Amino acid sequence: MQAIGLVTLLIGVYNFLEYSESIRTDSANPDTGGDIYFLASFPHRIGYVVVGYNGELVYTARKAAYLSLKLCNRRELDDSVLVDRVRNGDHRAFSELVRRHQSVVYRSCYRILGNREDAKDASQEAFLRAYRKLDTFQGRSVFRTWILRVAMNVSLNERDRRKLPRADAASAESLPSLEAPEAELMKSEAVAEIHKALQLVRSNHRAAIVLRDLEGLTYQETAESLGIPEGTAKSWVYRGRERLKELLVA
Amino acid sequence: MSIEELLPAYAASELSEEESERVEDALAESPRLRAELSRYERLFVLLSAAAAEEIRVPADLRTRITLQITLNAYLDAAADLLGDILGAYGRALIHFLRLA
Repeated sequence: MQAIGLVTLLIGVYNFLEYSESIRTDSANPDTGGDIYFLASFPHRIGYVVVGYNGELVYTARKAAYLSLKLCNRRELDDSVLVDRVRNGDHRAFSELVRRHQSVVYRSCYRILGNREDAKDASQEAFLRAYRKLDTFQGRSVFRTWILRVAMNVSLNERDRRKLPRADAASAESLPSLEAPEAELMKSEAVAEIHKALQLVRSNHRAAIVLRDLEGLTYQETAESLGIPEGTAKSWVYRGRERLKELLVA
Repeated sequence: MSIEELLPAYAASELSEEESERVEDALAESPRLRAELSRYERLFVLLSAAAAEEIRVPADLRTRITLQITLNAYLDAAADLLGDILGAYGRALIHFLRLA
């Protein structure tokens, strides 16, 4: 029995070290973060250690499996709970909010600005502004539309500041019209054409198209993210689509 | 709203049943409207392709943001502490030096 205990203790130590390593690895990977994940895996590993120490194999293993399952089934905390935690000084809660929403924020900034490096800077600035202005978030909208609104403001202001070519001034002549059947188009080429054409659409109409047609937000969410009435959002989407149709489809 | 204005929303299946019937009645009578609808349908194919495009978030974005926020929080806390220690003159100096 002692030999079994010693072996399981060694396994426990190995797993514990592996757990520590996984934390370090995760902190460098934005796609797999999340405290719940680690909490869920933790009892398993502690379980091995306890099994080895006590030698009470069956009982402790069951207990560890039960705890692990219970934590695996735990739901992620709601965004509003995380916002409250940030307001109470928990910076890690904001890091979790960043993990959840960085994809939609970065994609939207990229589609507005048309450049990955600018999109990265704009996303960072948007989250920093959101952190500073978190007291103004009153929970009337969900956090996603609120952070998107901040990101849209940053992206559109940045675009104006850098004096990127305005839609009205830019010539559409350089953009070839896509007359070939869809099946013949390379998907990547079509996407590139869309990105080029988007830069020739007026800023506010482009933002509406990005949120509605590319990010799949509802008209209400699009309106909230742009800080405009829903009717205006519909009108901007319509104008954007009309312009894109003229630019892209013969 | 005119039929022309309803066309893109019709192509995107965003209309109510009543509005859809209005558009379909108009389409049945107008080759020009059918051609326009075809253009919008092709546009939505392109938009779908763009929406499905994978845009990878830079690996260090979250780390950069978290680091910046943590740094700002420490600086704010340090400035508050310094302000408390030095009193009103200290706070004025911190404000003047734009440390907080």
